[in-house]
Amino acid sequence: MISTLGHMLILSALVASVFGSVTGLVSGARQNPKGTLWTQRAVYVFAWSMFLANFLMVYALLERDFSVSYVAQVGSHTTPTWVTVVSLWSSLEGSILFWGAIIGFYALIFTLKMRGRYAEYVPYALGVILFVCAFFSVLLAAPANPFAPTQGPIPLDGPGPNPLLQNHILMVIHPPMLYLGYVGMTIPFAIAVAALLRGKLTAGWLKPLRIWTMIPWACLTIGIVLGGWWAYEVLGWGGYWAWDPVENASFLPWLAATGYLHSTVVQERKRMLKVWTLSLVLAAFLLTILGTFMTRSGVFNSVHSFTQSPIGPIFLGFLAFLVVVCVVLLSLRSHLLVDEGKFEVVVSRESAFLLNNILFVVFTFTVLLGTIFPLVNEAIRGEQISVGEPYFDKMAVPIGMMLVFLMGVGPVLPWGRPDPSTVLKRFVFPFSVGLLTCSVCYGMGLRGWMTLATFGLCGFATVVTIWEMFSPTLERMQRRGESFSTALRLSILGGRRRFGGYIVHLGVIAIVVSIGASRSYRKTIEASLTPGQSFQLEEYTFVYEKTTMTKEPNRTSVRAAFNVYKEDSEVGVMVPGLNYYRTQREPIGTPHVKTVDGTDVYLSVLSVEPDGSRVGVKAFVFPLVFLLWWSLPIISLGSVIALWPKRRRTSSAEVIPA
Amino acid sequence: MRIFIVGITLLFVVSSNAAKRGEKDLFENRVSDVVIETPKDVSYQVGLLLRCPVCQGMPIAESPAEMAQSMMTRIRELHKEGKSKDEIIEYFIERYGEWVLLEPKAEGINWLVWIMPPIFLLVGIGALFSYIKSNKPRASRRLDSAISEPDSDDEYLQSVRDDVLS
Amino acid sequence: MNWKIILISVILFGPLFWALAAGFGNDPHAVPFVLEGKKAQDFQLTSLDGKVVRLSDFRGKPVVINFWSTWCEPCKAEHDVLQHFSKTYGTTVQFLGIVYQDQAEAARAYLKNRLNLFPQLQDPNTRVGLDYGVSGVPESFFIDAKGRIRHKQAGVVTPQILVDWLRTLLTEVSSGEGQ
Repeated sequence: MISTLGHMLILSALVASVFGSVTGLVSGARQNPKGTLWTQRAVYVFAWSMFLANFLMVYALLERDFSVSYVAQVGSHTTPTWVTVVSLWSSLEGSILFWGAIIGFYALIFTLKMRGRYAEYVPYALGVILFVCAFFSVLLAAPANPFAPTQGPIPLDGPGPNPLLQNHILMVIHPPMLYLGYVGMTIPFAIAVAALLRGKLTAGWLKPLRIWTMIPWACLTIGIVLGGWWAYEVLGWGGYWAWDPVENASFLPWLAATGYLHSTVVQERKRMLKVWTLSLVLAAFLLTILGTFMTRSGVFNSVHSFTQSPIGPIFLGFLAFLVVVCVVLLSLRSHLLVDEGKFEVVVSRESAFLLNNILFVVFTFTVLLGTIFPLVNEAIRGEQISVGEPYFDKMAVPIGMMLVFLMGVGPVLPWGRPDPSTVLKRFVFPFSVGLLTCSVCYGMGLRGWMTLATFGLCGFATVVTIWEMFSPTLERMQRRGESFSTALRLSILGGRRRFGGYIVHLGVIAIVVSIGASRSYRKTIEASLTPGQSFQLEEYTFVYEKTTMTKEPNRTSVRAAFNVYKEDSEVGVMVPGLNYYRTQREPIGTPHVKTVDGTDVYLSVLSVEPDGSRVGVKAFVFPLVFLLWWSLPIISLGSVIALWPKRRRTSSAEVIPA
Repeated sequence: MRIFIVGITLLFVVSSNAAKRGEKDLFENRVSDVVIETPKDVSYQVGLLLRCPVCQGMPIAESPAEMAQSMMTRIRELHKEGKSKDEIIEYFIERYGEWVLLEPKAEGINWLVWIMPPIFLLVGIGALFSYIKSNKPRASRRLDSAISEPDSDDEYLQSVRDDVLS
Repeated sequence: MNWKIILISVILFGPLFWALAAGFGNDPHAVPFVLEGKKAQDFQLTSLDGKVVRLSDFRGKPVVINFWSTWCEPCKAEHDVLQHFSKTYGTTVQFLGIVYQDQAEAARAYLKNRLNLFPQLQDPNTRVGLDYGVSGVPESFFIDAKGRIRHKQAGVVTPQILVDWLRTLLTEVSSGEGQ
């Protein structure tokens, strides 16, 4: 019953998306408003079919209807409700279904927002979006059909989703965030392709391109950081980023999109770099498809990858098709997208932006190279090799440091033709703050020149960023005699994007500092204890008290209680544990993390005797990890400010029906 | 004066803590059989380079799997026996092949993975320079004009100023 | 047509797609086996019943070493096969079991009511497991009379594999004696 209904919804989504992509592209070419109307209707049908299909699947999961193959695969009577709902995206077929709902959501909002505007481009954009939707609908209709009826006898109970996903509440928001980022890149892609198909890129069309890139970009950023948080809280080893192929898959589009967000500033201001900027948008989307392929083809080995499936070659074919289309479009249209602005001198704000773009592209290339290099090697030499964390760290650290450096240099450099001596003068203060940061850190006993240099660069970039954030306010106060609060409010309102962008920069600096500190100054200790015994790491003392065991329907969890002291004062009780799921031998840990004066004390159980008579633990000390999670509200705030819509009065002027 | 008060408070805090310590000796039952590791330790550095065979692309130094733990123990033993970093790595390569190494040795085709990124960066910077050069308007014409529009360094600042001056 | 863009794209994407396409059919989880033909590392381990066993004790006849544990279902499935073969081949082939990352207690309890014809050894810290490049259980190693590792069976060992390898190894022994 549910199977049939679900399959019908998928088919209706398929029909709507195929129909809409044809009408969209045709009416774009003919500039036919009637066709546009039909395309919009197709979007509504597609979106609602996908929403309903997703609701239906959630219903089937909650009802534990094992006659649906996907439910039989990931459902279980013993899992708690939230895990059951989350199971929607815990396995291959369901995740593609969820993908459909998200793209439906984006397409719906995009269509509604664009109604009656940009008539020249919108049908093309909708056509492209629906084309991508059609591909995923095809996947859902046959090779990855989540609604397929269960083969053979209907089981009474299922295995439940992967225990790793049942272990932490972050699994409720991390994957949707990542999906919002990933899937959302389809919209800027469609906008860019529409510009290429139309053969022109007016200032008016740049605005939706920017906004619709920023939204998924922000979601992707948050999703990636949340993924790190999840790993930190669940995997039990204090790691938050392992350069795993699937993590790289989410990082690659982020890098390209970040590059775009910077190059678009130059593009809008100087009317230059049109082809380049569009290429970055296209690349960001293509990389999301590559990432989806990497996660689902069974070609890459990863904690996060889904099981091997036959859809790999289909995905690769789709990706190849998209690449060919993009390349051909770019090469056919490049002569139409002429740069209007001119470069003036080598040392200017423009060139800082360009260098930043080169770095982002090199970064993307490096991560991609490292990720696929084992495949290259195996194809050529027939030998298996690995490319992992140490390689990526060696490559990413210098590139990252150069980017932080530019983060400080760029805003100081004026646009156009700056006067060298004025420029140099502007650097004096931030540079001395950077040096001061270095020496203070050195004075505090911190060593390791790379880490110190990173901190120095971060100090430098922070000063510049904060100065740039508030200089318009000061300017207003000085010239107009406004009070600080009025000046601040008006200057933020007048330069939302700029102000928000700098807040995001601060969030990124927080991440860099946190990574530098927690990797360079980590300390660990392993010990095996009986109740009453203690061990010491740095100034922290851990006293083992007792172990408790609780049986839950889907797992048995064991918690070991420790009293933790810093020097002689009590920090509190920490209760790390292990969870035994019936479907898996290796237990999954629940480490306990406490932030004490900016340093994370991280306690993880390695092994435990059932009666609690002996427990093996590993304790970690990670300085400044909390900054990594603090970057989340900072980056979110920055993005919201940058995206905050202007009042109608001003916005009406910007909507140039091109 | 204020410093003095802070000092007094600190003294009080310290002494009260000392009293607490007297009540309950935390250190009487300290276990001595522990393994402490920092990024400076050879075992950690080697452990970061080796791939855990039962996990997924993770270094053994950062994996909770039992296998990874055994490998870490082995590294510590070998290190205690006086083996160098390279010898320890070689020990694992003999048993698990080059696969176990998380950063490919810079030899043969693997050179590519090491030199391509820097080459790409240099090419990028080169392209950037040639782009700027080709884009530059005839400098001679511009030289005598104002070197920069001193106040036009920022669109927004400029608009603030215009706003203010108007 | 801007041929520069096309050329750059072909250079960039050509190798990418070639590598990705070449990746199909690879098993990304496979751990390579590099010890084939190498000398088997000697070891001295204590069996579950307290006897000390050395690999070198069995020089001159083929040895089959089976890594297993009680938490591994396929290992349990192949238990009877291995015992049966041990019985059939008697003293011509030495079978050894090594308990991999498991409690000795659990292993003893498991073996208590089962056929148990050959030594089952404990491997503290997986020391021998590492020497043999074990990457999971079950794994079975076929070692010839001269003490070289000839084959590793990752995963369940079937009667057919056992028959084939033991026949090969035993033929070598008898032809070696004939010379």
